[in-house]
Amino acid sequence: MVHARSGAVPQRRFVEFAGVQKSYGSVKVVSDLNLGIERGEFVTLLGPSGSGKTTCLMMLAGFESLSAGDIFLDGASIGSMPPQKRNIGMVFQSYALFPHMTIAENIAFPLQARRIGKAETAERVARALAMIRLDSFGGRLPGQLSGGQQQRVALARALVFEPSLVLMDEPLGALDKQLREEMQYEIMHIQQRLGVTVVYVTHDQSEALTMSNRVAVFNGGKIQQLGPPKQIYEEPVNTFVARFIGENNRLDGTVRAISDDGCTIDAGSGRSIRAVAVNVSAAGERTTLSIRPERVVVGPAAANAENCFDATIDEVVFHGDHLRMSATVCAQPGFIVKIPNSAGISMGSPGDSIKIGWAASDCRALDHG
Amino acid sequence: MSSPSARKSKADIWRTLASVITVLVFLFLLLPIAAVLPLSFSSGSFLAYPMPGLSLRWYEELLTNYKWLLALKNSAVVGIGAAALSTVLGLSAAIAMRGLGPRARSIVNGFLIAPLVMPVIIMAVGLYLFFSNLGLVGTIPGMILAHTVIGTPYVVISAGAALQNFDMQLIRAAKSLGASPWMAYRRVMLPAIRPAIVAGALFAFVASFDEVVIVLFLAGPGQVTLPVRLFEGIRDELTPVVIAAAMIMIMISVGLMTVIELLRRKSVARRGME
Ligand SMILES: Nc1ncnc2c1ncn2[C@@H]1O[C@H](COP(=O)(O)OP(=O)(O)OP(=O)(O)O)[C@@H](O)[C@H]1O
Ligand SMILES: [Mg+2]
Repeated sequence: MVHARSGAVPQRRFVEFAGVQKSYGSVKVVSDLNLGIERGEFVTLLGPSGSGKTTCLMMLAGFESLSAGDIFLDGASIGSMPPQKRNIGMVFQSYALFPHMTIAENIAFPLQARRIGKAETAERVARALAMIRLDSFGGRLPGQLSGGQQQRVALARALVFEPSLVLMDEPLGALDKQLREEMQYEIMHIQQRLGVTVVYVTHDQSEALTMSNRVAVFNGGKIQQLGPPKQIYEEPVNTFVARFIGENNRLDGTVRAISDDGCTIDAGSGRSIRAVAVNVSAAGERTTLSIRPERVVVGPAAANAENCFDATIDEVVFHGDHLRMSATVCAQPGFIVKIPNSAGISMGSPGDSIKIGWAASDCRALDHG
Repeated sequence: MSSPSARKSKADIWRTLASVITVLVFLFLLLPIAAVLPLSFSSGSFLAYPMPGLSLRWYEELLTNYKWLLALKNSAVVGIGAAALSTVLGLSAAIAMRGLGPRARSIVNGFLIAPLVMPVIIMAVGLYLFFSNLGLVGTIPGMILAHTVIGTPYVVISAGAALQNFDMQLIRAAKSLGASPWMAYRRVMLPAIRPAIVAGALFAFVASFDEVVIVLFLAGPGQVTLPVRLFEGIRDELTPVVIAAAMIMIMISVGLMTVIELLRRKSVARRGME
C-alpha cells in the first residue's frame, strides 16, 4: 500500500490503452496506441475507412486480441479477459438484435445472462422500454420495427445491465440523415442522464463534433489529434486533420520567417501571409496554410484584416442560409468563402474582383500536404 | 418474320407440350405403385384384380403379426437412434467447420458427405467386416451406428447451409451482453437454425427407414427392419399384407417429406424477414 501511495504504480484512467498494437500478419493496423478516457466521458474515434477504428473498439470489447500492449478498465488489465466477462455494453452497426426473440426478450437477455430474478428483470425491461419510448413494443419481433426503433432497442439492450462503459460502432450508419440527427441527440441525452462512459466510432465528422466530449482523429492506425471538438475543428495540428474535419481552405507557400508571435509565409509573387506556426520549424520549409471558410471576411471590411488580398470570383452558389463563393486567391483557385445570407447581401458575380481577408490567428501553417 | 400473336401461340404450344410430358413422366413413375396399392384393401389372399371384396384384414394382420410388429419396432428404434446420433454429430461438425479455412473446409466437407455418393454395398461390406470384429453384427446398436454414417451427411448439409446464412455478429452481441459461449449457442444460434436441424434429422430418419442393403448385411433374425421384412414377405408369403406394409411405409415417408418441405419454407421465410 505504501508502494501505491508513493506513486510507483501509475495512476490509470478509467479506460486506458497502453502501447496497444495490432497486426494482421505483417500488416500493422494499429501502431502504439495510447489513449486515456475519463469516467463519464463521451469519446469518439473518428477517421476514414480502414484507419483502424473498429479494430480498436473490438480490442476494447474483447473480440480481437492485442499484438502488444495492454488495455485497462477501471484500473484492472482486461487485455486477455474474454468478452462476456468484461461487462461492457456494445451497440453494433447492424443492430445485431436476436431475430427470434421479442423486443422485451432481447432486452432481458443480458439480465438473464447475469441470473437476475424474474421480477427485477421484468421491471428493468419495462424501465428500459420507457427510456427509449417504445413502451408498447415489448411483444414485437425485431423484424416488425423500423430501423430507428431497432437502433433504440439495441441501445436499451446495451444499457439495461448498467455497464459503466458502452461501445458503439457506427450505430447510426444505416439510418437516413434526419433520423440520424434525431438519434444523435437521443443518445447524447441518455448518456448524460445515466453518466455512462461512451466510446463511439464514426467516420462522420459532424456526428463526432456534435456528440463528443473529446474526439480522437485516426489515420493509418495512429491518433493524429485528440481533443475537444472545438479544438479539433479550430486548431488542427496537421494537414490531415485540417482536411478531414470540416471544410477548409488550403494555400501552399514557403516559410520566410518564424518569430514568437507567428510566422510569415511567402505565397509566391512577393505576397506574404501572416500565420500561426503550428507544424513548421525553419525558414525555407514548404507549408500548407489552413483557413476555415467562415473565418474569411470579404468586401471593404477585409481591408482591416492582417491578411488582405485581391481575389477573383469563380462561382457563387446559393445555399439557403448562406452563400458560398469559390475564388482564386494568390493565384491558387478553389478558395471557399461562406457568407451568412443576411438581408441585402450581394457578393458579386463570376469574373469580378473582390477584397478578401483573414486574421493571422485564423490561419495555421501546417505540414506540407 | 412471324407476327407477335404467332410467336405467342408457338410459345403456348411449347408450354402445353412441356406440361403433357411432365404428366406422362409422373404417370410412368407413379402408376406401378398406384396400381398395386388398392390391393392392400382386398379381402382375398391373392395379389390380383378383380378383388373379391374390400376389407382391412391385411392391416389387422400387419398390426397383430409379431414378425411385422418386430420389424416396425426395429425400424423405429434404429431410425430414431440414427437420426438422433446423426443430428448431434452433423451439427457439431457443421459448427466446427465454420472455424476452418476455405480449403480445409471443402476437404472436411467432402469427407463427411462421402457416404452419400459411396456405393452402399461397399459400405455395407466394410461395416460388416469392421463390426464383426467388434461384435456389433446382429445388434441394434450396430445398426444404429451404421445408419448414423448415412444419416450424418444430411444434417451436415442442412445445418451447414443454415449456418452459412447465420449472422455471426449475433454471437458477438450475445457475448458482449454477458452470455457464456454455451448460452450464446443455445439461446441465439440454435433457435435460428432449428428448422434446418429438424429437417436434417428427419432426412436422416427417412434415409435409415428406407435402407435395405446395410440391414441385410448387419441384421440377424431379431433385427429385421420394415423394408427387409417386406422383402422377405414378398419371397415367402406374397399376400396383400406386403402391400399394406408398403402403404404404411409410403405414408410415413410422404408425411415426413411434407414436414421437411414446410420447415424449409419456414426457414426461407425467416431469412426473408430479416
Ligand atoms: N481480419 C483481418 N485481417 C486482415 N486485415 C484486417 C482484418 N480486419 C481488419 N483488417 C484491416 O485493418 C484495417 C483497419 O480496419 P478497421 O475495420 O479497424 O477500419 P475502420 O477504421 O473501422 O474502417 P471503416 O470506417 O471502414 O469501418 C483495414 O485496413 C482492414 O483492411
Ligand atoms: Mg469500422
